[in-house]
Amino acid sequence: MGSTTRKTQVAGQKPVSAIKPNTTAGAVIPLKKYLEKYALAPSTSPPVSADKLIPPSGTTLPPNVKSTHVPISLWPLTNNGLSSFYAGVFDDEMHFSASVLKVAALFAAGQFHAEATAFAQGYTDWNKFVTDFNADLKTRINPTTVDSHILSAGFFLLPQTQTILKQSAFPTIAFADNAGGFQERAGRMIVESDDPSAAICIRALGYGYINMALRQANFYSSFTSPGIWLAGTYDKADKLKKVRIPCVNDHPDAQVTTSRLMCLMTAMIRLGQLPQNDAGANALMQGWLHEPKSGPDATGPWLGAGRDNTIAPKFTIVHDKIGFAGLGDDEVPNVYSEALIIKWTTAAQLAAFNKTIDPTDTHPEIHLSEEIAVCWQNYLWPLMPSPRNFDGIIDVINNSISDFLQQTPT
Amino acid sequence: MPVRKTESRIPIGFVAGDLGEAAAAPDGRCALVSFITSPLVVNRENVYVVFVTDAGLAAVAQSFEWSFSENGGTAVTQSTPVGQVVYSPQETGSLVTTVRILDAASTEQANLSLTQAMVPPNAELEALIVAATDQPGPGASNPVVSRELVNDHNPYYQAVTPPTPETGDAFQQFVFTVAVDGVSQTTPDSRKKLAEDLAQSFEDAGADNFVNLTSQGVGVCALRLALLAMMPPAGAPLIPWTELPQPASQNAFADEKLRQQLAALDEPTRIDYFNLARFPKSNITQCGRILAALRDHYFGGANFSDVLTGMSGTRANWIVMHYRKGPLLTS
Repeated sequence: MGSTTRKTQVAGQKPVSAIKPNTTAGAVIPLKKYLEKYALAPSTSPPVSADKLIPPSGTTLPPNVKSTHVPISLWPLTNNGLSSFYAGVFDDEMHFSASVLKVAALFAAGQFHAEATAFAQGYTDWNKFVTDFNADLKTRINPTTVDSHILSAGFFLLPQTQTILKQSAFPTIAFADNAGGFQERAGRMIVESDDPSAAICIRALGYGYINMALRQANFYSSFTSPGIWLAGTYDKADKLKKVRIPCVNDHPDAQVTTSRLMCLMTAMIRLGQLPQNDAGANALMQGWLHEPKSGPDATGPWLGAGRDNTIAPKFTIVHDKIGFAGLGDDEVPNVYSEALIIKWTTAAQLAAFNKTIDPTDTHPEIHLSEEIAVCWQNYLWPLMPSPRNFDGIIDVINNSISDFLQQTPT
Repeated sequence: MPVRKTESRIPIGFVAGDLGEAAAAPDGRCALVSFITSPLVVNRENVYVVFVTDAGLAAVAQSFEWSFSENGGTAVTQSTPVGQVVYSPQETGSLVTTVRILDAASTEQANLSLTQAMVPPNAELEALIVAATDQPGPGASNPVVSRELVNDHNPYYQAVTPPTPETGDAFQQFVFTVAVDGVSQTTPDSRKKLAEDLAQSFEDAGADNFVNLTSQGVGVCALRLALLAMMPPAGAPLIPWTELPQPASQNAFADEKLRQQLAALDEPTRIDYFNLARFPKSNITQCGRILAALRDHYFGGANFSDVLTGMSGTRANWIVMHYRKGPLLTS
């Protein structure tokens, strides 16, 4: 045999050669097509959804308004994961989203719980565990894992393990559940969107740990790339202890995200994928995000009842975190945002769509479940003509998802 | 001369559908062929060729106007001086490709349309590629090569059948392996350039360029046209079975003589061989046929499972070597 002849790699190719051909199951008109139609299309008569999303022409925009883009991300879910039918508009733009970023703090708390649980294996002594775990965290939070702006600012870099975790539960890892403790504060941060509670949780977790956790989970890569950024406590007393990142809709801010990544984070929490390998922490997180929230100070969704919305949503709300705050130093006007999981209520549309993508009903893993992860941002509600409500967002979601499921000709 | 010789005839004994996904005019004057059979994969380049087999239509055809409409949207149009174009689908859904054959006054003389589905990349392969990054071993091999084969040519290599029925999928695996080799050794652009150069060689006077160009294998499986002429899809061999010496220098010389014999064949026959090698569907089919012929000649009686697994795969490697360089003298 000639020495120049390469040996064929038959054994190595077997898995690839056995893959079946593509089917026409994925040949659907993309959700993005419909989302763009309803969220971006120019005005027609009668007015389309897009007209309800941005201030009418002629509106004098306050000096703080830097963008009228309303980023929207929609991610239909399957029973076990993310579907391949994601769609977004302006979805890679970094926007200030105020309290929606409390979801990122919640994520970091879950990651901390999971990491502590893994680290605690083999430990029987609390003090020894705390010493070693803190030493490990201190080593890991470094310039290769944490953004340099956060490190150089030097605020709240390291987690306060003894504040976050419950000593008496050890060697089981649990959040401190004393009155006013971390667990209660984390719950109030989400259920009530309570700023003082958020501040306690974020200080305890630390900007350094939060950023490292976001980076490790691919929600953040660099200061100049789209990502999720949380380096502020929501406490005005910490106003000078924020680390700010540039964004599209405001001056540099400490609570910034893209709709795509916040939509993904919300979806992964709902799917039980965040944190990894810690179902207990995930259950707590889902419990706090769940709708309807309970308690006298619980928040309600912007897209839900009681917000003067006049368009009936074609969905119910399963998880929700709202956000609103003022732009600029004088905090005018307010911008609104939301990350949520919705549940589509027209089962017949879902069944028809699943039949389209799986005509032989042999791939249940690709079937859409009823749930869709949603994130929208930078809605300048105060600049809308009356009645001021969230009809524009509801309209876009109603029409985009409905047309997509029905594959309405575009 | 807008209708090139290579687009003026479909290989004798074949129909347009043997070359790829096709739409033929009801009057039989022309046919549109897509390299890739539906569904197409988003952002993957596809080649469309229009054959004008009617001499009258070919005589008046001066240009080709192509339009691509995705999901009923506004069509993207493009004019080409010859009957070939490339297009990459932009989104999932439905694609309607239309070609209008225009005369010198830009008046339509004929048109053909083909509707195809557009889908995302093969999810199973993508998962395999992701998993392979975390695992030792060959895994998904070269992801670029795997993506081309699975997304573009999968129906073709999975449809090949051995001349003698046998259980298992060893024959398909073997053809797939040769296709992997072919795609690994060349880029789609270099394959496209070789095909264009060969098509042009039929338009130019003299056979020297054709002889030089056919030193390379054509298309997905790097099919050697001289080998195809030695083992034609039908009829008697047009080049007698000729075994070439193994040493590289002697092999190159003998192969050139073989290619000169190929160049001496009549032009329609050479065009037919070129077209069989040019289109991925017929290329892979002919590759399988040649591999079977080589197996029969050198290892008659062994099924493809034996060829692949017996004797540590030595027979498979010999057949591949005959395919690339031979057939070779083995004594």
